[in-house]
Amino acid sequence: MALKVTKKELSLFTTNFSLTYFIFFIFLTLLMMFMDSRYDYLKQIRKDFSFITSPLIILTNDSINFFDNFQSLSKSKALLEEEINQLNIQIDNLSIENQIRNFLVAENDNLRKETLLSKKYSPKKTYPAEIIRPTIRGRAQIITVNKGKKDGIRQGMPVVNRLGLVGQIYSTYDQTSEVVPLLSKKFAVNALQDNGQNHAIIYGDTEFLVIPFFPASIDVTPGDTFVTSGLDNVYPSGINIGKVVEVSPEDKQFNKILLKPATFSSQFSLITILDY
Amino acid sequence: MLKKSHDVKIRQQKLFVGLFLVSTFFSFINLFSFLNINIYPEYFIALMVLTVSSNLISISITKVFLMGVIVDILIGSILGQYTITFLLLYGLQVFSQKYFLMPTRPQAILLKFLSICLGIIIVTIISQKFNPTFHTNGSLLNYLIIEIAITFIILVIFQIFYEKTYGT
Repeated sequence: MALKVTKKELSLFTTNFSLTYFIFFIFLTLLMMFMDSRYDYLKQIRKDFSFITSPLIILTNDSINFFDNFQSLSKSKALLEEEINQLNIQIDNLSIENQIRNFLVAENDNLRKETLLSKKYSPKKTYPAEIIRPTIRGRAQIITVNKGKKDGIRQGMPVVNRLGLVGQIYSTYDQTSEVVPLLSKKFAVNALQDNGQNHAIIYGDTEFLVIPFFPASIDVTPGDTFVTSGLDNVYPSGINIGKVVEVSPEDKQFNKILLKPATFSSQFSLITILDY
Repeated sequence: MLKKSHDVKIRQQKLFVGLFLVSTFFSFINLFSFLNINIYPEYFIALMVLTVSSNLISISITKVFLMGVIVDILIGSILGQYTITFLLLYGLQVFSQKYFLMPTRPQAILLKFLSICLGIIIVTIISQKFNPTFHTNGSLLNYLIIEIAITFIILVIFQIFYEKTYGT
């Protein structure tokens, strides 16, 4: 005897699954993706929901800090003494360098007055801040710092540390801020070769910094350093960006230059935000 | 299919909430970053595969959609990245239940493995547009294989917890 199959059983999906709803939600999701890629709504939504996500970040941060502190407690006394000695030597060297710097600043001011050049801009205010984990959100590399709107941090402020340029403030919340690191694809900075002659725009490219088209007629060799030029009025001039590691010909007229950043986000925890 | 008792349902709902929080926690700290390896295990995809395949909680398209939006807000590169992945995983599960008989355990495991592969491929393709990471770690294929393997191990761990909700 042949089995009788009802129309309901023949339908593509079972009873509690509506194909219409499924297709509707797929289209809705595609629309969301389109709107977000065009208008960047996710950034605003994250800001609005930061009262939920901030405790999560603080919780993860505290648990990692706990392990870090535990590790540092187990350091031996001898190691700490050696570290203190090294730091004392470093302080001596820095104080000598600072004296030379003070002299050069005074000399530079005098020369500028003599040659009627405008006053060189310097940061109005600096904000010391600490990098808090996580350094990733999903797959995106981000740096979250423990200073936010309440501390006077604004979008666009440059972020530096003692080794060089770290990035730029991308998004600010009440208690925290997000920094676009140097190696982010969103990052670009106007740079000057440290001999003070050649300008270029440097872009982040995941592993290295890159100058995609640099005139082949200008001599650049691995080891040359690039610093911020200050022409963009975003970053103060003279901040170390990175060193050239590779020069490869792009075509007859241009070279592609790869640079190693002066500093990586995993190498430090203290940074300074500049009000420039 | 075995009917779940009220106690089991309560235990499984608690487990779902617990696993969701654990997934959020580990997605934020990324254990592999301590070893300087760019691998991002997809805890939420493992949780979603377990949820739809084992009926961890009673699930509907609306719930899947909302869960996807929440995960997007938490860790997504773009709004809709995880939502579309979860919806397609749910669709695959319903489709396979309707058209394929999978009575044995290895067959069920194979379906879960395929679901994870599909989920990770979708998430990775969308991520490549907004946060390209694979080329820092070798080829895209290597990256996908490692990520699928690790996510599958996470699913197995989640599954062990799930089976414990039935008691001894």
